[in-house]
Parts: sequence; C-alpha cells; structure tokens
Amino acid sequence: MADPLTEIKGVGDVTAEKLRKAGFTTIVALAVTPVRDIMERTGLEYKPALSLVEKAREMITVNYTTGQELWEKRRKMLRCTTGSSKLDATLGGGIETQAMTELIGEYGAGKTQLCLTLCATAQQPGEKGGLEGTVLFVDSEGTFSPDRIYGIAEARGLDPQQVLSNIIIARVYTSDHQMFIGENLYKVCPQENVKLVIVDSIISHFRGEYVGRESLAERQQKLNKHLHNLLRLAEAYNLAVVVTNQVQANPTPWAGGMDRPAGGHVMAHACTHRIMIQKSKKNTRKARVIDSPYLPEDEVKFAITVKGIEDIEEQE
Amino acid sequence: MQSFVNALEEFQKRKVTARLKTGSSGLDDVFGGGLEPRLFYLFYGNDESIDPLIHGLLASSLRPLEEDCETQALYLNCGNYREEKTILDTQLLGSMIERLDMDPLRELDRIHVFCAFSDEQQEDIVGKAQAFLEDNPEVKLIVVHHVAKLFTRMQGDLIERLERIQRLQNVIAKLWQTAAQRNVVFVASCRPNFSFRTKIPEPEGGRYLRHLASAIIHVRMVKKNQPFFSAHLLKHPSIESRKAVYTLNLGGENLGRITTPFNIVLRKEINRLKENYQKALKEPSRREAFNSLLQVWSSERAAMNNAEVPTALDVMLLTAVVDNRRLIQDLFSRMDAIQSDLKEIKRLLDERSE
Repeated sequence: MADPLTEIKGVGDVTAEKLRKAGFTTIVALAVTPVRDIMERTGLEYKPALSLVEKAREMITVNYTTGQELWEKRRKMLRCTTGSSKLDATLGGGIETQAMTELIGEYGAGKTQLCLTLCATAQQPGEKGGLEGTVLFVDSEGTFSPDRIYGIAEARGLDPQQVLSNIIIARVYTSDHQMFIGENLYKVCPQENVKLVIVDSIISHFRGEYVGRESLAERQQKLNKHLHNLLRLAEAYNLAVVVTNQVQANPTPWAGGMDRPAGGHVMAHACTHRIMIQKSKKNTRKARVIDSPYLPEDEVKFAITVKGIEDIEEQE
Repeated sequence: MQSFVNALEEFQKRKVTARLKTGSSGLDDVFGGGLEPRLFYLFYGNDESIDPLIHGLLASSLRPLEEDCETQALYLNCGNYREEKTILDTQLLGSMIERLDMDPLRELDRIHVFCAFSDEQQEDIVGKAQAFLEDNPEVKLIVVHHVAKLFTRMQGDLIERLERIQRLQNVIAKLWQTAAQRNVVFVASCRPNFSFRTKIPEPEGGRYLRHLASAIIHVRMVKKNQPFFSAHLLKHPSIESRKAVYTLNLGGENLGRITTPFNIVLRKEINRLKENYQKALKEPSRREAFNSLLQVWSSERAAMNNAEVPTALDVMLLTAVVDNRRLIQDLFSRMDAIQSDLKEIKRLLDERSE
C-alpha cells in the first residue's frame, strides 16, 4: 500500500518519516492540526509546516465546504447506543460521532459505568446500535475495570473475551502524559479502526497539578489545546469522543446550585453535548442535557445494573 | 512506559495479581478479596474506627505477597501531634504483627514513617516520599493518615481556604500519581464531614478527593469499645455499593470493657418480655401485675442480685403464670363437662325413681 504522506507534493521519504514519528500518519491528521503544533512536534520551520498543512487541506478540500457537502458529512455521522433506549432518545439516538460528549457528575454518579457500558455497546454492529469499531479508553484515574466490562458483555450476550480484546487502554499518569497520548491518537485511531475514544476523566490531572490562580491561565490553555485536539480527531476520523468531567463546589450556590462542572468556560465551549448525571434512588440515575447545539434540555432516568446502563423497569 | 495496552491482556494480568490483605477477612470480602495494587482507597470515619484499621493494614502488608518477597510499607502521618499524642501505636502494631506469626522486633523495620505537623510540612514530605519510593521498589503500600486534616482547618477567609484546598489537591494528585506509576496500593484516611446533614456523612477534603479516590469506604465502630466495625462501600469502579460488619484482631490484652453493658442487655430483655408476655396476659389484673414487675426490675436491683438479665426465676414465673392460666382454663372446661354429666345422671335417677 502506498504511503499517503508521500502523495503530498514535495514530501519525500525523509519528511514522511519525520511526520510519522511525530504521530501524523494520514493526510487528514495533517490537515486538521494547527501549524504551530506541527512545528513543535516535527521540528519543521514555519514555512514548510504551513505549506504542508495547506497542501494537505487542498487534497481533502477542507478549506471551504458548501452546505450540501456538510450535510453529506453529517449523514455519515454514526450513533452509539448507551444501553438505555430512553437515554438514547434524549441524546437524539445515542452518542454521536464527529462530536465530543461530556458526562458531568459527582463521585458515584455513574459516569464511569456509562463509559464502561459504551466500551461494550460500541463494538456491536450498526443495526444493534453500535459503531462496529475498536474502543480506546484513556484512563486518568485508574477506574478502568476489565472485570466490570467482562460482566457487562456477558450480561448482554456478547463474547466477553472478544469485547475485551477490542479495547485499547492508555493509563495516563500526568497531564503532559495525557496530552502526549492525545496527540498519538492520530496514529493509533486509523490503524486500529477506533470508533470511540473515552477519556475518564479529562480534568483530573489538570486540576491536581496546576495550583493557584497564577497557574490557572496556563492550565486552561493546555486543557483547551487537549480538548480541541480530541475534537479534531472526532471530526477527522468520524469517531465519537466521550469525556467525563468532575464537579466542583460553587462558591455562589445561590446562583446555580451547589456543584458546577470543573474546567470553566474552556470545557463549556469545547464540548458539543454536555450531560449532567445525578444520583437518584438506589441504583437509578438522572441524566440531563445541560448544553447542546440542537438537543433540547431534557431529563431522563436510567438504571445501573449488571448490564451496565439500562432502562428502568416499568414497575418502578 | 507502555502507553497502549490491550484490555484482554490487562484483564488476564489483573486476575493473577496478588491483592493486599487488610487484616480482616470480612473487610477483604467487601473488596472481592483484598486491596488491588492500582487503586486508591479512601477510608473515612472517626479515629476509633480508622486507627485500628490502619494498624491492621500496616501489619498485614508485611506478609509476603509472593514467595521470597519482603514487602515494605510507607506510612505518612499528617496530624497535630499535640492532639493525637501518638504517631503510631507501636504496641498495638506489634501485637497485631505477633498475631500474624511474625516477630515485631524484626518486622517493624519494614514500616517507614514520615510525619507532617503542618500543611507546608505535608507538601514537603510528598517530595521525600516520592524519592523514597524511587529508591525502595519493595514498598507495596502507602498509607496517608488524615490526608486532609491539615488543609481543612477553618482559619482564614474564603480565598485562603480555597487556596489551601487547591494545595491539598496537588498533594493528593502527586501521591496518587506516584503510587499508580509504581503499582502500589494507595490508602488514605480522613475524618467525616458532618456539616452537609446527609444520612451518611461525606469525607472531608473537598470534591476533588472524592473524585480521585477509586474506592470510598465509610467505617464506623458498631459498638463502643468492641472490635466490631461496619464498612460501607460507597464508590468502586467494579463493585456495587455494599455494607459489611468486620472484626479486627487487635491482639494483646484488652484493658477496657469487651462485654455489652448490663443496662443494654437488661433493656433488651425487658423489651423482649414485653412483646412476648404482655400480649399473652389477657386479664387486665395480670397485665397490671406484669407492669408493676417491670418497674421493680431496675438495673441496680438486678446488678445487686448478680443477675445477668431479669433472673431465670422471673422468666420461669412468668411462664408459669401463662401456663397456669391455660391449666385453669382446662380445669374449668373439665368441671363444666363433669357438671353436665352429673346433671344427666341426676335426671336419669329421677326418671327411674318415678
């Protein structure tokens, strides 16, 4: 198979190798990455880097698109079932590709449980609400549980070993490590046919490492870069990105409740859909769309069971 | 550092990874067989329940996880020495180690203690602990006692307190990152925060600590001065919320009371009698007699009589009362039958004489 990078005019074997080492294996990856990032990661000067991006963009015509083309692109969008038909309906049919969905909630709200269920459901065929692809789980809190996925897959009548073998885990230990993994996804996702990227949680390391107001700006800049990197990845490879976010105490609880999502405006602007999950009675949870470009602000209940996430039984 | 791993390989690897025992089989069962090396466990509760648990964990961590492997433990005590008086109760720890068939004099060397008496010191010892872990790969357990205490004091204005919480976040994140990278069990303890008026108190230390902890467990003593504790698992990535009562072998001689106080036993017994006997006494006069008997049963009188509960004689007496009532009822029935027989005989005799 011909190397796609050498198809770019002016790119020889040496430059292609340099790009590959930096994690750029496709023309799409080059086209959607900011010039400054390419300079940082490859060591290229500004002009050659700019020229590379422009040529890559010309090849896949991402500079200008008509409404019709955009419509066609949106039609390629896939949706992944969460395991609960009611939650799917609230999300307009499930977790969508080409978008970043944020799950917010306090500890024990069920964010990780929803992510683990998605690990199993995303591998199912399209007619069963899956994405027919591999799942990549970026674990920043050590919460990835293969035992739980094994149980969920078994309860859903899937082959647990097969389900687990189609999941790639990246355990990240620092915010820099997390960003490094994020950049490497451009290489791994097309290679492994990844259709769902989960980051649980997106904010944990950033919150812990950057202390004080003086480092807040730097933290937010890095977080913004990381989030946009994930968003570009979702659009470039038609995959779904799900991130979980923590809550923090609201210093002004009289205006907006006790808790608010961490990450400030950067998180709020970067994520396509924001879903707030709250604890309810026993094993039930409430999910509410709090921000979305087109989904109504709706609330739905679901249950956490051996199957992961599912609808609440009728008698309840 | 291996960045990407297949989940099936990870699943198989974790299945054979040895778990660290807590020192109580009841508590081990809560976590499905012990503590997993990659997780962060946050135990919170009062000192009376947390202190024995931590000592038990430290003692238990000295047992070899694998053959020919002498493990070590790192203990960080973050508290006010003037308040707590002791950093580590070596007598309790020693007796716990002894109960595990190990020599305390030899094994205590494998527990390394760092202390912090102020928030600045706690920030400082994190760096020292990181360096220590770098040099000692045998460390398999890190315990941070009172992880949030020095940062959650109420002095200062709101901004100062928020800044302190942020510094605490940094301390926890650093320790957790260090433990996770080295596959070490990370255990932290803190006090309960009762200011939220929730049914189960939340752990102190803010929301970040609660988010970061992989497992959160509320522990409390079931009965005062007895080694019975209740553990309520509130958060775990793969185990649903559950409750369990566990006991800890505290070792050594117990100087305090280990039996249930007499007053409680007496009250329980009287309540049981009220339920079982009072309903059986149909006649108001008997019920009145029973109530007066209850008043007489004071704890002092029972204690003076050297009785454990309302005496066996009292219970037998009550049983006799109920039994007698049934016998009397039977006698009345029999007398009625005899009288009707007599009437019949008398009638027959009268008929014959006529």
